This record gives sequence, structure tokens and C-alpha cells, in this order.
Amino acid sequence: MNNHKYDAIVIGGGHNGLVNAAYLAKAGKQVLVLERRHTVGGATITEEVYPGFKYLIASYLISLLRSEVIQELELARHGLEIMPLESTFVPLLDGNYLADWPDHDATKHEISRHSKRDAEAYDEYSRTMRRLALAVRPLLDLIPPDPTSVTPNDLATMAKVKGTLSGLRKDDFYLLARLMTMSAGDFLDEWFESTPLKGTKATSGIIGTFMGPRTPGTGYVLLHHYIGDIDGVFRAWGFARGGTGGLSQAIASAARSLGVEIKVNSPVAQVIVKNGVATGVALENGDEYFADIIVSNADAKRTFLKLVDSKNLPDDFINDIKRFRISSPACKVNLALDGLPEFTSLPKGKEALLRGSIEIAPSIDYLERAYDDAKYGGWSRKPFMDALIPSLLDPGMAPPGKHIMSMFVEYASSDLEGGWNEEKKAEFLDVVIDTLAEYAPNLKNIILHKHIMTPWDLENTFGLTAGHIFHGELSLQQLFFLRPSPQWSNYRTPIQNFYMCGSSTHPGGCITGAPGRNAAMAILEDRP
Amino acid sequence: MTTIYDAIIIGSSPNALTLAAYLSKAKERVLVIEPSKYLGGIASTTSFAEGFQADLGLMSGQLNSKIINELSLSDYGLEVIERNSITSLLANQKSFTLSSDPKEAVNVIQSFAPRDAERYQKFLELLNLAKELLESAYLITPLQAHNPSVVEREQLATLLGQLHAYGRREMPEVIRLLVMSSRDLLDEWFENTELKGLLASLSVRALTQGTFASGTTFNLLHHLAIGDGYFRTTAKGGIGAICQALAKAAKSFGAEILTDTKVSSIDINDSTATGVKLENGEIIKATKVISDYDARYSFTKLVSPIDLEPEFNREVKHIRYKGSVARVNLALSDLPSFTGLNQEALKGTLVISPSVAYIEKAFDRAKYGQMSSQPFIEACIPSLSDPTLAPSGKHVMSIWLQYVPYKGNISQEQVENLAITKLSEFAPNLKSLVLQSQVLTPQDFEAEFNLSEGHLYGGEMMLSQAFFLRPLAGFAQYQTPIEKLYLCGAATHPGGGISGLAGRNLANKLSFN
Ligand SMILES: Cc1cc2nc3c(=O)[nH]c(=O)nc-3n(C[C@H](O)[C@H](O)[C@@H](O)COP(=O)(O)OP(=O)(O)OC[C@H]3O[C@@H](n4cnc5c(N)ncnc54)[C@H](O)[C@@H]3O)c2cc1C
Ligand SMILES: Cc1cc2nc3c(=O)[nH]c(=O)nc-3n(C[C@H](O)[C@H](O)[C@H](O)COP(=O)(O)OP(=O)(O)OC[C@H]3O[C@@H](n4cnc5c(N)ncnc54)[C@H](O)[C@@H]3O)c2cc1C
Repeated sequence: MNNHKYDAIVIGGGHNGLVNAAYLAKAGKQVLVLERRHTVGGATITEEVYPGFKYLIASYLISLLRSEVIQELELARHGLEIMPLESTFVPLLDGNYLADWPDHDATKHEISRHSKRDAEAYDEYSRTMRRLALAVRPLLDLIPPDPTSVTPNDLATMAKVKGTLSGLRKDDFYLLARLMTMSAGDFLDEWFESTPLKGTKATSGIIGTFMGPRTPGTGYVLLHHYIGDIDGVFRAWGFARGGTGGLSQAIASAARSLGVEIKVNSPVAQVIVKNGVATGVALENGDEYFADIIVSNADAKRTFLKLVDSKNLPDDFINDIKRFRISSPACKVNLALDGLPEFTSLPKGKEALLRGSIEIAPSIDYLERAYDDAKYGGWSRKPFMDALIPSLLDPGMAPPGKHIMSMFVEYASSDLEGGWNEEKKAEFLDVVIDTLAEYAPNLKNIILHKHIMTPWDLENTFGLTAGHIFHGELSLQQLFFLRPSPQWSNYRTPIQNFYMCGSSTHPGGCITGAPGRNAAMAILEDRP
Repeated sequence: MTTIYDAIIIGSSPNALTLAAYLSKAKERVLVIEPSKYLGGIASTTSFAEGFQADLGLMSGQLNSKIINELSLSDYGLEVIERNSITSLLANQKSFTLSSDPKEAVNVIQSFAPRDAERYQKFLELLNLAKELLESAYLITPLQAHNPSVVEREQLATLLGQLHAYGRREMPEVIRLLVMSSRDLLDEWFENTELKGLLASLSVRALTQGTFASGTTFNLLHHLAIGDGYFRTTAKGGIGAICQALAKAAKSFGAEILTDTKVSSIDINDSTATGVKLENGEIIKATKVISDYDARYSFTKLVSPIDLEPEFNREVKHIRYKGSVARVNLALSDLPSFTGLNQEALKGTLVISPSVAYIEKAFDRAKYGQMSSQPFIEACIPSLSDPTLAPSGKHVMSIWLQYVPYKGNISQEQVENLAITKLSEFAPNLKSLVLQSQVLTPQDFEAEFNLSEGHLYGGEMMLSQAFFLRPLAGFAQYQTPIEKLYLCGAATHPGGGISGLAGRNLANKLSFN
């Protein structure tokens, strides 16, 4: 029994929990973070699963991290270093390839090898997406309004949203309306003709979502992944030194320096609620901690269906949380390699492309078939992969001369028929390696160790319900003022003094820090 | 001096004829020109075998009641027939029939899914709220969403007021409905696979999407809002009779109607439409021209792209058509016997949609240009309620089959065989009763009726092509880049079906000007 009383307790030390704690502490609150694992970071983590090799067992790249968070928490001072990821390499089985270079003209030249017309359209496409992304970006930093409410706050936010939208150019406004409601595949068909170009561009529309590139709604996800910038460089993806875990360590360090207390190995079993007011938490080991403000970084299902006694919640709300869609298609594979994979289609002299993203996404149809295979409870026979060799960017990630390869893989259903088990894990890992080996035949000979995180493992390891990387699907009915529940999208909950700050809230998943930051704003509105 | 019409309308869909009736009622000189022999285009009922009549394209629907009343269409012979039930055809004698009377439907559901039965009525109530909202939106010209005028702002405020009045719980629920997939919707409400399958069927009608796609619930609501929902309606004499009644009304107000007359192009001078040119070279002049055709046909065939801006042409090219509905009409020597179904059920609509995944799987093949051997089918035997359609003792069966992708080059024979084989699983004697048949694939619809990619609704009814985006952003108010040229067909708001509302909205707009 611990009698110490905090101003705020944050359940979960994922990057959003840490950001939230840091902002609360910055406002003068005394904050305790309770993390169930042995380390903070949640899905923003690097782990040495195999001695000497630092695996990215969950997230791997940073792009959408709000620059406000980086600046306001002085993350650079706390060790955050982001190295831009400069290229994308799309190997093809016919011996050809497509590449996106840091140099604009080089990229255009590359694309024109596939289609002169696409090379022309590419500039306009990039400019258009940039304008749209910039236009919607301010919405990320808003506490979503409740459109049914007429409080001054809600009205003011709604006016802001309206202002943002009506400030758009007319053609952009219409394009945004269409993009939000159409499929990434249809959208790209409008712009381009080259099959591999459309394939690789479509991947941004399906990352983390259980939809195919032809499913309406993926247009929004495409845009979601265009919103990022690193130090003002638009649409740049970066690799944090030490992996994404390096970022979590920087946020944790910033939080600690602001006075946040972080306890790891402290799984919370229950939120203590008295007369509709949250007053503290009870750990699995029985310890109790009390505070005026309780914040949950766990996903909405875990938070409200596991950590809170349902008698404290209205039926409608429980129903909203139960129906919140969270089926996940994503896996993560890490390989410890004795050397570099040799891609058949990579020309001599262009090895620098291995330092960027390597995408197995030869066409929209390839991705769509991968989805078709998985959507009824299966996995892709030929999965989509977004691979990276972090040890080429940060030599500290693997022993000298050796490498690690991180692969984000879709689709493998969290609702696998018959459920996941060790055999099925091994089977799917083979599917992934076999698929990649078609492009890089030496792969199997250089594998020292292999590791897969299926949705099942992501759930067990990180407490992500169904292993969902975004704490719930980014489908249209689960965005903005509907996320995670229509009346409770403003980080508050039906329980007084109890808040949410994880990715189940606006603006959703990815390493953004936005839910954590926005939640802190909402909390500080209530309790300055 | 040759006549100059106030309006020439190219095409004779219910929208076109509604417009013709309203304009001529307002004393305008109106000429309707229909290229085919049949009034109504795909909304016609024709004889396909000696003594047998069947609907060509759409096999149900009704005009908006405002139009029926304002034009007194019952005086012109319009008689509505309701099909008051839907039957899910299922293997192993498990077929079930839902009546349009919710209490009866609940009783039926009770027998195989008691928990779902409790929720059914509430489900219908929620759908109804969304439907009423759409009905209001469908009665007006879409607003220019980007920069609405004062009047439009007021209209928007009225719609939002209606939404607000639903209450704090229901308002966001209705918003969610508009954007979600029918799979998600039905998973939220029900447990029983077969019930969900049947209820999902409406969400993909005439749409080349599967049940897993966002926006399929919108397609479902659209059909409810145009009065062509689960429980279909038609007219005595078939869908074509609706056009006949409208045509009679229009003529009585003075409109002229020409069939079997092909327009080869719209005459344009100085970016202004001045009339039409017929295939025989004749030019007919008018102060305004209205095309009932879809945007692609109108702006590539009737108007030359040279008369339009490249950006506009590009957008026209991007409209999603992808027709995938095929129609089969069978002339039958007798009533087929469906295992376990009584005659009452046969008067309704028969649906093959045993699960939400079944439809998605049928669609999966279509994405790659193939036709699934397990199609989504809706069928009816209209001659049971309307004996005028077949010789006595004989029957007509009308079948709607998805997905037959336009790009797939699938033959009439393949479609007919599949339809009969699939339905024979439930009515084993069907094949032996077939006297004659008629099949229309998306390619036939394009070839015979100029529907782009054979799409029955003038473009997919999806959110990215609805309201202020239909048929094109910036041109959603029935106007076009050509002065005095308008669109009025299913390609325009509120989209597919035979509600006639596009015609009425445009008539309002033109008489207001
Ligand atoms: C600079 C640039 C900007 C682009 N901007 C967009 C954009 O904003 N949105 C988007 O979706 N895609 C855009 N694209 C991509 C473009 O849509 C694709 O390259 C592709 O759709 C063009 O197809 P196409 O070459 O087959 O037809 P296009 O040559 O684009 O022609 C499309 C239609 O326009 C007609 N047409 C062509 N030229 C004329 C003319 N001079 N006068 C009248 N009609 C004409 C054709 O008959 C045809 O019906 C852009 C491309 C470039 C190079
Ligand atoms: C495989 C994978 C790859 C990804 N790749 C990328 C990428 O490349 N780029 C990107 O931007 N995003 C990526 N993401 C998404 C991104 O990592 C997540 O959206 C983000 O990390 C979520 O952060 P969070 O703080 O909201 O939640 P989490 O990281 O899930 O943190 C929640 C924390 O709460 C803890 N917790 C849960 N329950 C309890 C309890 N009862 N008691 C105490 N603690 C508890 C958990 O252990 C966890 O630490 C990826 C995710 C995954 C899984």
C-alpha cells in the first residue's frame, strides 16, 4: 500500500503516455507513469532479441512526429537524432526495379524509364499531395469537437475546422472530399499508368489498415501518411539513432527531467473508481496508487473492457467500445544477417538504395491479392513488405560486418482461422522469407536468426488489442470526433477525472505524439 | 421559320420525362428525343418473347411521391405494385422470408436468431433516420460545398437542423452510417450470418464494390431514400409503365416525344448549346438542351472534347463507372417450384446472398475481371402479381446478377447459364421450364443504351461520386461547362434509380431562373 498521492497517473509508458506525462509535468503536475513491461516505449521500441542485434520489433520509422512535440519537449537535447531515409527501392521480378532518390531529377529520370507521362505527372502529384497534407495538418492538433454540443469550446473548434476547410483552394477542397472517400488505388489510377509506381505509392494507403488498396477509405490513410515532416522537410521518413526505441528513451528522459516518475514492471489491473470519479489505480500485485487525474495510454478496448469495471460505464459507451474495429493485418519480421541481401534487380553502383526503404509492392493488384488472401481470416501467400536495413544507417544496430533487416509485413489476420500458434507463426515466417528470397536469392544463406511478431505476439508483448498497430482501424467511421466513441473523442471519458491519451484517440496511430499532447491540453483545460 | 424549342431533352428516363412534364406544365415548349424504340431507355418494359414482357434494366423502383402527386400520375394510368417480402434462398431448406411488416419479420427472425430479433426494429429505426435525412437532401439541388451562397447556407442549416434534432446519441450514429461499410454496420447490430447476408444485399445493389468497402452503407441508404429498398415496388405493366404514365402527362401538357431518333451531337456556338443535330443531319434548335445521358457519354459523344477544357475532360475520364450488373429475363412455361417456399414468398424478391462474405467473395473475382461462379442474385416473378406480363398459366422471371465486370468480356451465354444453374439449386425444375430468354450484360447496356461501361446508374453510387461531387465536383448542380446545356439523368444528384428527383430538381432550378 502506497499512500503517496500524485496529481496524475499515466497508465502505460508508450510514446504517447510519456508525451502526455511530460506535458502534464511541464504544467507543474506531479506525475507517475506505470508501465507493465520492463521498459518504456510501447510499440516505439528497440530490443536486443538476439545478442548483438537490435531488433525493431514494432515500429521502425518516424515521420509523423509532431514538430511541436520535438521542440516543446526539447527532444534533441535528450538524445533524439533522426536520420532521413533517403530512398525507396522497389525490386521487381522481371529484373527491373523502380527507385525514388533524394534527388528530384534522379527520381523523375527513374520514373520516366517506366513511363514518361508518369514522370511528368509526378511533380504535380507531389505538389498536390503536399498542399492537401498541409491543409489538413492543423486538424491533427485539435481536440475534436462534439458536433452535437453547443459549448463555446466545441463551437470554437468547429469554426476552426470550417475555417481550415474553406481556406482551401476550390479544386483542393473537392479533391480532398474525393480522396477521403475513395480508394488509394482509384486515386492513383487517375494520376499514373506505371504498374510498379502505383504499387509503391499505394502502400501508404494500406499501412496498418485491414483494407486493400481498392477499398474506399484507403485514400484517407494515404493522406494520413503524407502529413509527416522532419525538421520542415515534407513527407520525409526518418530513422532514429538506436531505432524508434531511441525516440522513446529521449521522451522518457525529457519527462524525467521535468520531474515525471516512471515505474516499469508495473502492470495496472484496475482503475479505482469511487462514485463515478477515478481516484487511483491498483496494480496486478495489489499495490495501489492515488491521483486526481488518471490517464490511460492503453487502447480503448483494453482500457474500458479490461481496466475499468463495466458498472462504472454507461451501456451505450460500452457498446461503442465493443464495436470499435480493431482487427489487424500487420506483422513484423526481423532478421539477423551475416551480410547484405543481394537483390537480383539492383544494378551495380546503386547499392546506396539499400540504405532506404525496400518495398515489395510491385503492383496494386499484388497488394489487393495479398489483402484478398487474408481478409477472411488467412494470410497473404505473397505478402506486401516494407523492409529496411537499419544497420546501414546506424552501425550500432548490429555487430561489425553484420546486419539487421526489419520488415513490416501485411497481411496476416489477427482473426486467423483456428487462431495463431507457434506452428502457424513459423509457417508464415517462412512465407515472408520465401517471398523476399525471390527478389534476393542469397537471403536464406545469410540468415543468422529470424524473428516474427504476429498480431498475436504484438498483443501479448505490447498489450495491443488484436495487435492493432494504430489501437484501432483508421476507417472513416473511427476518425476525428468519432474516435473512439462519438461523444467521447475529446480525450475525456464517462468517468470523471479519467482520460485517454493513446492511439485510439484522435488523430490515431503512428508515432506522432499528438494524442499524448492533445490529451494533456484537454486535461489542463479541466484542471489547469 | 423553323420551330425553336424552349428545351430539348435527349433521352427519356423517368428523370427526363419528369423534367419534360414539369417544364411543359410551366408552358415551355419541350421536345424529348429517345434514340431507342423504347420510351424509358433501360427503364422500359419490353416484349422479349411472344406474349411475355419484362423490365430491361432496372427491375424495381418508384417515382418520388411528390412527383406522382404534383403531376397527378394516377390519372395517367400509374398503378403501384408492392413486393412485400424478401426471401433469402439458402441451402438445406433453410430459406427464410422477411415481410415488410416489421412485426412479422421479427417473428421470423425470432425462430432462428432470437437476439437479433430484438434488435431488428431498432436497426430499422436508425436506418430510417438516415433515410429521412437523405430524402431531404435529395429534394434539393446539391450545394456548392466549397463556397455556398446565402440560400445554400440556409438549406444546409435546415439539413443540419434535421440532423441535430435526432438527438445527441443518434446524430453521430447517422453520420457514421454514411461512411461505413455494410459489413461493419451489420456486425455491429447482428450475430446471425444469414440475416446479415440478406440485409447486406441492398448495400451492393448496382455497385461494383464488396460489402467490406466503406460507403456501402451509403448505397444501402440511397436505395431506401429513393423508395427502392429491401421491399421493392414496381408498377402495373412493369417499370416501363412508369415512363408511359409520365409521357402521357408530359404530352397532355404539350410536350412532344420522338422515339427511335438518334441525336448525333449537341450543337454548340460560342460555348453555348443551341440545339441538337440528328443522325440524319437535321438540326433542331432550342434555347436549352438537357442530356439525360451520363457525363462520359455526354462529354465525349454528344459534345466533342475539343469544346471543353482539358482539365474537365480529364475529370470526366476519371469518373468511376465499372458496370457489373447483368440482367436475365426468362419466359417460363410454368411457375418454378422453389423448395420450401410458398406462393406468397414468390411474389416478393428472392435473394441469393447467404452471407456478407459471400458477396465480398463474388466481388473479389470481379476486381480482376472475372465472374464468380457464386454470384449475388436478386430475382422476382413479376407475372405472379401482374398477369398482364405473361400468357395465362405462364410466367416471367426477372433476374439481376452481380458481378459481371464490364472489362471481363463475359458472354450472354455464360451469364444465362450461371443464373439458371445457381437458381436451380433452389428451384430444381427451373431449367426445364425455360421457353425463351433475354440477357443483357454491361457490354450490351453500353452498346444498346449508351451507358458508359454499362453502368445502370450513370456512375457508381459511392461517396466520392455523390452530392456535390456528382457527376463532377464543381458541376453538381445540373449545369455543365457549356452554357444552356444541362444534365438530368442518374449521373446527377441524387443518382441512380427512377425516383425522378433529378428531373424535378432541375425543373425547379430552371423555372427559378
Ligand atoms: C502537369 C500535369 C498536371 C496534372 N494534374 C492532375 C490533376 O490535377 N489531377 C489528376 O488526377 N491528374 C493530374 N495529372 C495526371 C493526368 O491525369 C494523367 O497523366 C492522366 O490521367 C492523363 O491521361 P491521358 O494522357 O490518357 O489523357 P489526357 O491527355 O490527360 O486526356 C484526358 C482527356 O482530355 C481530352 N483532352 C486532351 N487534350 C485536350 C485538349 N487540348 N482539349 C480538350 N480536351 C483534351 C482527351 O480527349 C481525354 O478525353 C496531371 C498531369 C500533368 C502532366
Ligand atoms: C509492428 C508495428 C510497426 C509500426 N511501424 C510504425 C512506423 O514505422 N512508424 C510509425 O509512425 N508508427 C508505426 N507503428 C505504430 C506506432 O508504433 C504506434 O501507433 C504507437 O507507437 C502507439 O503509441 P501509443 O503510445 O499510443 O501506444 P503504445 O505504444 O501501445 O503504448 C501503450 C503502452 O501502455 C502499456 N500498457 C498497456 N496496458 C497496461 C497496463 N494495464 N498497465 C501498464 N501499462 C500498460 C503498454 O505496455 C505500452 O507500453 C507501428 C506499430 C507496430 C505494432
